Parts: sequence; C-alpha cells; structure tokens
Amino acid sequence: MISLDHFEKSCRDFVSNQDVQLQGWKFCVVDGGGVYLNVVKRCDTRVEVNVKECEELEFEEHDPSAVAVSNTSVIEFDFHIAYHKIFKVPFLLLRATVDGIQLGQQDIIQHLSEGKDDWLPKELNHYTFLTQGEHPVLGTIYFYLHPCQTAELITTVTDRDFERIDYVAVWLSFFGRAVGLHVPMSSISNKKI
Amino acid sequence: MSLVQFESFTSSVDPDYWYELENKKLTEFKLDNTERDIYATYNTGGEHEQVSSRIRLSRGAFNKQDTFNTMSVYDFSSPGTLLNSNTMEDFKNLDKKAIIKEVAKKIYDSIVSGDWINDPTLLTRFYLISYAELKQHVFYHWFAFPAITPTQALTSPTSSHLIGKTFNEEQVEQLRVAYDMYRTDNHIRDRSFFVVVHNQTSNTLTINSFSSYKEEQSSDSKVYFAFADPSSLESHPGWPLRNFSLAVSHRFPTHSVYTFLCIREIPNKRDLSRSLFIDINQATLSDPSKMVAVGWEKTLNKSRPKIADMGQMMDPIKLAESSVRLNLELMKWRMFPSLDLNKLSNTKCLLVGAGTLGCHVARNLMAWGCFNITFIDRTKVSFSNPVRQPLYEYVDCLNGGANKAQCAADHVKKIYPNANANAYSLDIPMPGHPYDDSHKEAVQSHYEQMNELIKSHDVIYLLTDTRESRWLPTLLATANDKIVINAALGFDSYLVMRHGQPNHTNRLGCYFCFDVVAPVDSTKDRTLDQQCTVTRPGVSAVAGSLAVELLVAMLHHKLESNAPASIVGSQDQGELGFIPHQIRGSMSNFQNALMTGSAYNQCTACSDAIVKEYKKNGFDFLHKVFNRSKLLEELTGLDQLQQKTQGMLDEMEFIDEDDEEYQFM
Repeated sequence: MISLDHFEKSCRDFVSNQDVQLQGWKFCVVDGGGVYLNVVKRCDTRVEVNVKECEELEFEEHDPSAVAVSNTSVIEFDFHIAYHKIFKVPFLLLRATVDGIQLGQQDIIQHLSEGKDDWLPKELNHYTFLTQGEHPVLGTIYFYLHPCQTAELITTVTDRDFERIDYVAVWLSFFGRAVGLHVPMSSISNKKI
Repeated sequence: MSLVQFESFTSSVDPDYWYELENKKLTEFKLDNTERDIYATYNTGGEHEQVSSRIRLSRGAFNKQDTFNTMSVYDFSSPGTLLNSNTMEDFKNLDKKAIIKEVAKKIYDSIVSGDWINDPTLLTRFYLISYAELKQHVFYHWFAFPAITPTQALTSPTSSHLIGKTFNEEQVEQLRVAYDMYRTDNHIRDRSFFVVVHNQTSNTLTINSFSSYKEEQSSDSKVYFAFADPSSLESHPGWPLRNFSLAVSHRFPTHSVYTFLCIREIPNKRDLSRSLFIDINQATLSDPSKMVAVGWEKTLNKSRPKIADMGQMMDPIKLAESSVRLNLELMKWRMFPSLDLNKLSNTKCLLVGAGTLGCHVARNLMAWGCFNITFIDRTKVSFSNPVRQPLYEYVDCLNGGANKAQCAADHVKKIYPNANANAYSLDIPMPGHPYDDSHKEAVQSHYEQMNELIKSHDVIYLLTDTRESRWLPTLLATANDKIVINAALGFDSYLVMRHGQPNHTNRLGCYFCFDVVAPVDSTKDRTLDQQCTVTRPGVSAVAGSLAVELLVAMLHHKLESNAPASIVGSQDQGELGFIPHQIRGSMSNFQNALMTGSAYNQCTACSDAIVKEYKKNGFDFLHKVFNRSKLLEELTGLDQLQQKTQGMLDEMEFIDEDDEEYQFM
C-alpha cells in the first residue's frame, strides 16, 4: 500500500524517464480532482467500422475532389493509472474505442487476448477481473482491473519500505503485462529494490 | 494537369464528450437548442494510415480554454458549432444543405475579408448536428466539414512528393527545429497554417505566421504555404488544404501555381519525413450567390449520421448488472470454478410467505444472482414488521399498510431494478379451516392460481408461519414434481429441509411425513398479539440463509434435487459439500443437527394415496379436506394407526400429559 502523496510523486518520477515519455505516457492533473497517468495505444489490426443504419437520412453528395473514405479503422486503447483510495494502491483503467465508439467487455477481452499486434499479451486470465466502474478522477465509466490483490503481490517483490521503490514502475511491470503495457527497464533503478 | 483529391476528416468523438453533453443538456441547456461553440482537435498524419484524418471531440469540447489547455504541441484545434436538437424529428428535418452552405459562407466571408489571416483555424470551421436520446444514452450525430468548391476543381500541374525529394536531411531537420520554436512562440491558432520561406542564398528556413508574413519579391526566396496535415495517405493531402488553397489564392493572387507543404509530424518522434509537397494551380472563388460547398461526413461511403450507443457505459442499471455479475464471477474464479451462475439466474423461485423468512430468503437469493422471485402473501405490512423483515420500511405500514407481497416485490426491484419480482395476494386454503359454501368459488380460484404459480416455478419455498398453510403447496408441488424448500421457526429453534419428489430414488420425506396427525387449525388458541410467530430475531435470518444455501448446494450436485441426503461422515456430497435433508438448529446452544428421514407412505401431504386422490378429484377433494381434515387420516390409514396406538397405550396404562407438538414440527 502507498499513500496518495507517494503515488503522485511516483507518477511524476515515472514520467520523468525519457523512455517512458517515448512510449507516450502523460501525467495528468485535474484541478481539484487529482492526478492520473495516461497512455494511448493503437492496434495495427484493421477492424470494420460498425455503423448502425439510419437509412432515411442518407443522401448522395457528389464531390470528385474527395478520396473515398476507408471503411476500416483500428482499435485505440486508452489506459489510465489512478489511485484507488480503498485499497491504497494504483489501479489500471482502460477503454477501447474505434473512432470513438466504445467496445464492450467481451470485445476488449477478445482483442487483448487474440489481437495480432506485437504489443498485445497473448495469454489471458487477469482479464476476467475486468469490470466497470467510475474513474476516480474523471468521474466517468471505465473498465478496470480489480485491485484487490495488488498490495499482496507487491509485497512479494520487496518487503522494504515502499516509499523507497519506484512503486508505479514496479507495479506496472506486474499489472501492465496483463494488457500489453511494458515498462522500460530504465524506469526501475535496481539499487532501490 | 491532374485533379487533386483530398482526404476528408473522419470524426472520432470521445465517450467523455457524450457524458459532458448529457450533463449539459440536463442541467444547463435543457430545452434550449440554440447553437453552441465547440472545439475539436486533430493531429498531423504520417503514422497510421488507418486512423488518418481523425478529428476529435473530447470532454473539454464546450470550453475553448479547456480544449487549449489539454492540447499538446502536436494537437491542432478547429472551431465548430453544435446544434443539438430536442427531438429526433427536429434532427431529421434539419435542412442539411442549407446548414453546410451557411457555415461555408462564414468561411467564404473570412477568406474575402482576410479575417483568416489573424485566425487561420477559421478555415477548418465545422458544424455538428446531434440528437441525444437520453433515456437510452444513444447519440445521433453528424459532422459537416465544409469545403468551398471553387469555379474549377482544384488541380495540380505535377504530382505530390515526399519532403525528402526537395529538402535534404539537414533542411528537414532545420525545418523541424524551426517549427518547434515557432509553435512555442506563437498562439495555438497560428500553429496549423503558416508560411515557410526558404532563402536559397543563405540556405535558411524561416517560419512566419500569416499575420506577420509580408510577401517578398526577392527572387532567391522560395515560399511554401504550410499547414498541419491530418492525412496519412501517401498521395492525398488532407481536408484543410481545400479551403486553405482558396484562401491563399485569394490573398496572393499574382501566382499561377502555389507550393504547399503538408506537414506530417509523427508525435513525439521528431520525424517530418512523411510530409509532402504539392503544387496547386491558382483557383478562384465563385460569386457569393453561386457558392457551392460540400462536406457532410461520409460513413461507409455514404453521407449519413453516426450513432453512438453509450447505453452499456452510461446506463446505471447496466452498471449495476455488470457489478453484481462481477461479484459472483469473482467467487467463481477464485473459490468455486464450477459455480453455475446461469442455472441460478434461470431458476424461478416461488416464495409462499413474505414475512421474516420470505424477506431473508429473497435477500439471499438475490445475493446469489437468482432474480426470478415471486411472492405470495395475503397480509399487509404492519408496524411491527420493518424491524424484523428486511424488505419493508416504516412508510409501508402507513394508511393501513401496503399489500405485503407487492411491497416485497417492489423493494426487491428497488434493490436491483433488473430483478424479475412478482407478487400475488392469495389466501392459501388450509385443511381444517372450514368456510361457507358462499366462499367456495373464491377458495377454488385461489387454489387454481396457486396451482398455476407452482407449475410455472422451479422451486417452491414454504415460509409461512403455520403448519397447515404448508399443506396445499406441499401437495401441489408433489403432484407437479417441483423442488420444495421448507423453513419453519420456533422460539429459538428452526427447521430447514427439502422435500423428496415422487420419482426420486430413496425418496426423502416432506414436512408432513413425520406427523401422525393431519394438519388442523393451529392458530385457534394463540394470543391476540396478531398471532405472530414469536421467535428470537436471529432465528429467521439464519434459517432464511440456510434455506437458500441448501438450494444452491443442491443445484450444484449432478443429481440436483435427487441428490442423496448427506449425513456426517458420508461421501454423498455436491460441488459445494453437504446437501442435507433436514437442518434442525437451536439458538439456545448455537448448534445445528443434520437429520434424514424417508418419505412416509401414510403421509397426509405427499403420499401416493393423497396425490392419487387429488389427481383424480381435483378441487372437489381439496374442498372436502379444507372442511374436514380428518379425511386425510382416513385416506392414508393414519386413523387406524392412531386407534391401534391408542389401544396399545391404553393397555400400557400410559397417560401422556403433554402431547403438544413442537412448534416447528
């Protein structure tokens, strides 16, 4: 378990690493609302754009100067790391969208476990813990990995004072794997563990 | 000379935008459907062809400053207008052609007036029409990205080419550094369109905003009109170039050909190598009255609205559903892999009696994800009930009290809106409770309803406070081969048991199998305090829980209700362990005893003789029993047994002073 202050400091440390920045991680502060980490990852695999019909409103617009729009798009995963006030640990929230249209739980699990992109994990088991809930900072609904066994797991890595380790990086090295987030080695300094 | 084709924007609306819109619609806009300013953002292309030319709306869309604050240096803003209709009809009836023309006219005017020089993002002005179906959380929406059509379609004397063909690596890097500096030093609105001047003598690249750029006549300078290009397509520039090229043609009319630099920078990668150069011939704007514009967003190659269905994410009932499910799934994943949640959720339970036991049983069924619950009760909620019966509240007792069964069902739905809870206010006809012939029809109708309910449910819970009220449901459940779970309370004792069914091997006994007398009116001698069962309060909670756990254990045995009764030391267990026949517990010593008893062939409720007689004569038979319960003893031969026993006792000159039955027996 870590304190909110330590979580915040640990997040700042994490994003100060250049390799972490290159992965696209951002540290976000919401006025009066708290902090979280955010990274967006795209799958290269094409998916059909899912369109609900609304036939009566369709019309033709002749425009030879326009290129035909592609009918496929890709899934975009939006990952957040926020602080769980009850379990006092970081937890991972996510959303998957195709051009803004959200995927449901089953689709997310399917793409995480069967997607062809290199970065995706190939094994599934942690995902079954995926559930929906409110983002503690943004207040909107995200899927998240249930944080109930986090504190226990981190204790298996180090029994030392948590204030001294790169908690977020160490934590992510465990929980990120489940969703294909890999932690750059440089963000974890060996001597501290 | 070739026609230039542009890649249109594809809209990508962040789910949080819909939360924001819903919130604003409910608290701020209400029925006010005037136009609102909104702000969208886009990135430069180059990396992913699949998500080329995406324009995004996110949570800060309604606030310019919020949008600007969350923009990184790789984001470009576009001003727009939202028209959110109040009804689907309004949305359908909007004049799309007039709208796009009107918005395009604003762009046209800013080109003619030169306003765009101070704010080039005006060239990318867009319009969004939407209709929010708030009950379903479905959002119909349609973007227009107006592009003004010049008198002649835009053409190019050559074809486009990658930046590396004109600039060497050093120059590309010089441009990148200059652009980085330019972005930091200039306002966001100058970021997306600017002028790159290449002084060929000194080989220097300088970047100017349009507001600071003065056209030079120097022959050793080459001018490139640059813009942040959202397209990733190798040979097609993005949509902003359409209006931009018209604006440039209009502003700098002396050229016949303009060279545009389509900046495509991969965010964070310091890489401009995917950028393009494209030459476009001078084009002229048509008369304002003849101006034509295109740009309603196409989806799957047709101009039509998009539909964002956020029901799964925004509907609190669906959230409750998934959270409840998760809780049970956690049990399945962690502790009990063979947990059959579907079986539980499909099991239909009929709760005869909605008192303390009924409330506790319903609560525990819900906790297991079993939400098909029907209550039968004929009473009303009274003032003494709420403190003991967890489905009721004080207000339910007012004005004579709410109908108990209905009140229980309503509260189940309050606890979990997706529950399928139903209620029937029925008098249960009972043996030894005679009635006038004038009531016969009413009794028959109650019997028939009861029979139908038993037929349409899988599990019958007997949770009433008298012995005789359990007789009819026991008989009907036996006749219809249904599972029965019976719970009965004493002052500090309880009995929870399951009934055997006719086709079972080693059939177990029912509640009445252990009696040698037929049920009679047991409430006759009770005191007047509402003839309530007087029990230690915890007894009903314990018995109610056991009654549900017994069912769940039974449903997780491969033989289900035919599972043999477990006794201490037996191997007969299900996935959840023991499946006893009877649990008799006492609060006075905090102990449970598991007991097993076979079905009794002279039982007054479940024996073949009774079931056969009922099946043969139906209500006529029941009618006789209700008026004279001794008939049951005659049919089963219990009367003879009693006489025989009495004879034996007389012989032994044994006098039993206390023949009061256990309250729960």
